[in-house]
Amino acid sequence: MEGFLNALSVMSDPYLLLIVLCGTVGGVLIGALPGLTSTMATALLLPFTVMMDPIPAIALLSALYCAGTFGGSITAILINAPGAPPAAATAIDGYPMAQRGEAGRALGMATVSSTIGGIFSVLVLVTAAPLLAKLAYNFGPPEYFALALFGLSMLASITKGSAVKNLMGGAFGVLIATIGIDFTTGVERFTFGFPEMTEGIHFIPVMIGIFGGAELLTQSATLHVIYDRVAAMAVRLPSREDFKRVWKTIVRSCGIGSFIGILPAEGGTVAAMIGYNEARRWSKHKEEFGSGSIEGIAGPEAANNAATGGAMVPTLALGIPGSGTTAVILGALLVHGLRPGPYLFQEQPDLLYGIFAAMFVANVLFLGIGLVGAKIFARITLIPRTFLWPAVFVLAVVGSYSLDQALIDVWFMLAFGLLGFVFRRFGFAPAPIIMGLILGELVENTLKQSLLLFEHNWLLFFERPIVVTFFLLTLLGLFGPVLFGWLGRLLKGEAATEK
Amino acid sequence: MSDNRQPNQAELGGAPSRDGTRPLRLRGDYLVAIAVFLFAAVVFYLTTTFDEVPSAMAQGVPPTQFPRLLLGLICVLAAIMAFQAYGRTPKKRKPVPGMVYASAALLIAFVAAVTWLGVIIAMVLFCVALPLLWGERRIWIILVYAVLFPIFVYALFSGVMEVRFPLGPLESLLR
Repeated sequence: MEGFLNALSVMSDPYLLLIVLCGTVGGVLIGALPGLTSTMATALLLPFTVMMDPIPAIALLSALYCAGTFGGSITAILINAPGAPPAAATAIDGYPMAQRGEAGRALGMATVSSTIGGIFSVLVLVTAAPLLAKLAYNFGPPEYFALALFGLSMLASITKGSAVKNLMGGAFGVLIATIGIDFTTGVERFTFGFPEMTEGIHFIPVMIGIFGGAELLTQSATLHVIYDRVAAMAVRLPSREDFKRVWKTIVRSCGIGSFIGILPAEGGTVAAMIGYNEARRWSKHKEEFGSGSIEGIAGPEAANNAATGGAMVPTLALGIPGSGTTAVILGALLVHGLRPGPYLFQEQPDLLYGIFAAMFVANVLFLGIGLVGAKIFARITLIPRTFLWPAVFVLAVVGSYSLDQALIDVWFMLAFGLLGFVFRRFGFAPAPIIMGLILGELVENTLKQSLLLFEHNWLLFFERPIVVTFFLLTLLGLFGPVLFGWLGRLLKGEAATEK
Repeated sequence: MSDNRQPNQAELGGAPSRDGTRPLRLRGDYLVAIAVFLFAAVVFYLTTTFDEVPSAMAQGVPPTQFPRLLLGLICVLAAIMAFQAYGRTPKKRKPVPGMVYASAALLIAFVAAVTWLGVIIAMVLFCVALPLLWGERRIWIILVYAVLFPIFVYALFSGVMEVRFPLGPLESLLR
């Protein structure tokens, strides 16, 4: 409670409040644009924030993250094209509702359930992150190695792409992180004689390219697609009847979203899908799902916004990103010279209060924006792609260059943009590569430190209980989807036999 | 030509969809596995070209070990991926539209132009070329956009964030 009050007191600074307002409005706008995700937006915005103080910089990105997750629901409901992947489940019932003239009711429910989910997740963040950070005080290199490995193993179960491809993407990201001087021996690796590469490839141009550049090429393949737009009506607050019907769904989704968010690598998209499925499973009106159920909006929207705060928990407490966007936020912390983990809580309490407050205020602000301005924000989709995407790429080039004022970063951004498109074509999602790139240094360094500590005796890893726990969780992360799939099939088979 | 159908997930973001339109999913996995093995072989060769470790540092983990460990892991995963694809009916490939190649070429040209012509000229040319390539025909809007947007971006980054861009022929004019 004290932490939460401290967080709110930080927001008495008008400059910070303005920054959060900009982040929220920008987040809703970007979230509403199909193709522009909050992950891409935070990556594009990151170079701007380098010049800012750490607190407003991270507060801006955090607010954008929260609002971007909500913004996707506007276009999911009105044009059946989720502005962001976490809103994909919202379109299943939101668009049919809009088609039968209930766009206002659907948008109102999306706004309110998003706000409840978001605020709940901030409370989870304020409570859980310091506790997790305290636990991490006892972590040495072997524990961090096992933790990072666990984080990477969770890539197997994220929704986009196959488990094997996600793991390959993660390993590829870690491999990219080995470029540059090896910190234990001073030997240059894969630098090809370029002095600019001795410090490795900066992850920001890679992120910008792989999200922004690749998406531009994807958009160029779909220029012929015209969206059917349903006219937005005045947004309505959910009626007492609606609320009575969905409150259990919202509560359940808050829990699901926060839990999924806390798991490394899982994000709002997974949370929304599970939130939607659970809403349908527990509903008394299952037959309405798919043709415009109000619970089908409340479930995923509460869950995907509840995942935002949850995803920040491992990011801040352990330095392990909880989702694609928090990987970018983690990158921003590193750019500002801050190493997430237990010492961040000890040494930078103001920064943490700033993040907590920014996320809380962003959730409250988008309640207002959603209820009053959704109709206006929906018009953002009228911006022709022929003008939007050149602007995005210009910002990608300028942003990549401005980090170190080096043209090689721009070429890297371009190369990873082209590569990102090819990867997508072959079913590789971009987020695992970024996760691998961000965690790569931690994995390698802690492995090397551990082996020095253990005098190259690998078996000593298994004498540390926390390490063993993480190894077991890693195995579960890797084989869980296969195991649970097999169990599910087995149970279904048994049920069919009994019938 | 335009149609009114809704885009599927594969078109929107390359994500897999259940309607069988996921491009290059099956037969492509063999190609991917072969490409990954070739890539791993090349990178493995590169690890053999690393400098010798100074003797004072020799007690640590060699710099080649971790990348090689990763290459091994990537190859194992590629083999699993190929194994998973085995026996599945190959689906029809969806070719990459010509517009994607043209757009990619324009992106490369833009970055090259930043190097040789400077950022302002490159931005202006790009803001004219890409809308035209993508079918925009409102010339006056394109021209206004191609002048105002680059000026805004340059002023923001150069003026506010004090970034020094390569300016090419405009170098003497603006500095």
